Amino acid sequence: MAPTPEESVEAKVMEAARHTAYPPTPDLTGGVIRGLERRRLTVPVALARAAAILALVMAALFVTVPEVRAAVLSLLRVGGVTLLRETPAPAPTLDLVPTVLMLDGRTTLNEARSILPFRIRTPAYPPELNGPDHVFVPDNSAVVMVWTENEAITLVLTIHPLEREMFKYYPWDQTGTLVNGDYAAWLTEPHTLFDAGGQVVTRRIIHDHVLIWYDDEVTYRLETDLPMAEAVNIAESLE
Amino acid sequence: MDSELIRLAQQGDTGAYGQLVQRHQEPVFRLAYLICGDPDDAEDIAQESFIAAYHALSRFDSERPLRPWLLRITANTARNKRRSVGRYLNVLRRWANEWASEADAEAQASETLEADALLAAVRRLSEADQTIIYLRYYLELSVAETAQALDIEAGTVKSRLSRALGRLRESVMRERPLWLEGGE
Repeated sequence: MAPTPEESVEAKVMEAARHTAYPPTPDLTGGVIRGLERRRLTVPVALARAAAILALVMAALFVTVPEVRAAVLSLLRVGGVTLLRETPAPAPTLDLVPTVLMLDGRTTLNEARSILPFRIRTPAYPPELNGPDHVFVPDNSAVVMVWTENEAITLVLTIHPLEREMFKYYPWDQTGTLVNGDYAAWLTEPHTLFDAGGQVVTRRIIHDHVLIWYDDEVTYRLETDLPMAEAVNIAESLE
Repeated sequence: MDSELIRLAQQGDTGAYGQLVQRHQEPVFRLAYLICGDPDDAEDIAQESFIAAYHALSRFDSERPLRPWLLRITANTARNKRRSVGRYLNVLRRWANEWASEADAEAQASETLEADALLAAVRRLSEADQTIIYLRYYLELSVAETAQALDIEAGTVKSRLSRALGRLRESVMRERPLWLEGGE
């Protein structure tokens, strides 16, 4: 039986992969060990320094090169969240949702997992953390999970597809860090979240710190009053 | 076995971690090279990936296979590096030249030319399509290992691969309509 087009492509790719020439693999051991010893220097400082240099380079290129313009805009985004450095930030308006517990779409974690097309992971750290106390799916395209203690909100984790847009008016400098080796933004000032990605537009004031990161599929937003290192630990514990 | 070295590394034994680096540096480096296309950048990416992995090792289950997890971190690190402007423009220039340079490489074996040309075509796919093709075919991970590396289900690996190969086929056939028939 003749191969299908997909089988033919697969065979071609496998053949090409076997004949791909790679440069010799360098011995990374020494560099890695030295890097482990150096990395105690602040990662945010290194990232801020690199970001400052890159900003100067791109400012020079921005006006003339369309590809650079697109790249600059993408650097102000973390996954599906865009940070707008509008100064001054817009004043809060009456249509703000006063608290995350007032969101529409209250449901259960199992129900959210059955209706949303992406994988909903929850933190395994700290070890004593149980499942979320409240779950919302405001418009069938994002999930908001809330943990409380003595009726006070302690943690909020929002997960939404990469193509869903959220905006934050954030005129202050944000800190960069790493989650699973990938870039993440850390915000510490109170700001307004503008969610325009679903059928309902909502605005909410965020008082806590926020860690924003993303993977191939979704954007994550973690709201917490914990310090950045703990927030990263929580983010890297998702399973 | 990796599991014993991982446990020692989790307790702070950098010598044990160095042995893990030795064991896995080739696929980590090769994935970085496939994604970024530059050996020096690939070395940086591979090194950073191992460093990031060490700092996340405390939450890694030592009984799980290490390589898919390392490759996931590598793919993330390489993707983030690639978004810098300088590398972006360099890659654009490389892509623009790669098809044209085939005719100049008459001394190369035809299989190598074909491999280079197909790699250039894979590099024009989306990041997600590239990554899954590299893991499954270039690094020869199993479906299960690819699923672990991408943190998805095995069934999802198959469906994503199918779509990625479809897009690759469309891309190549636009330039080379007789590609699948063995012609130019």
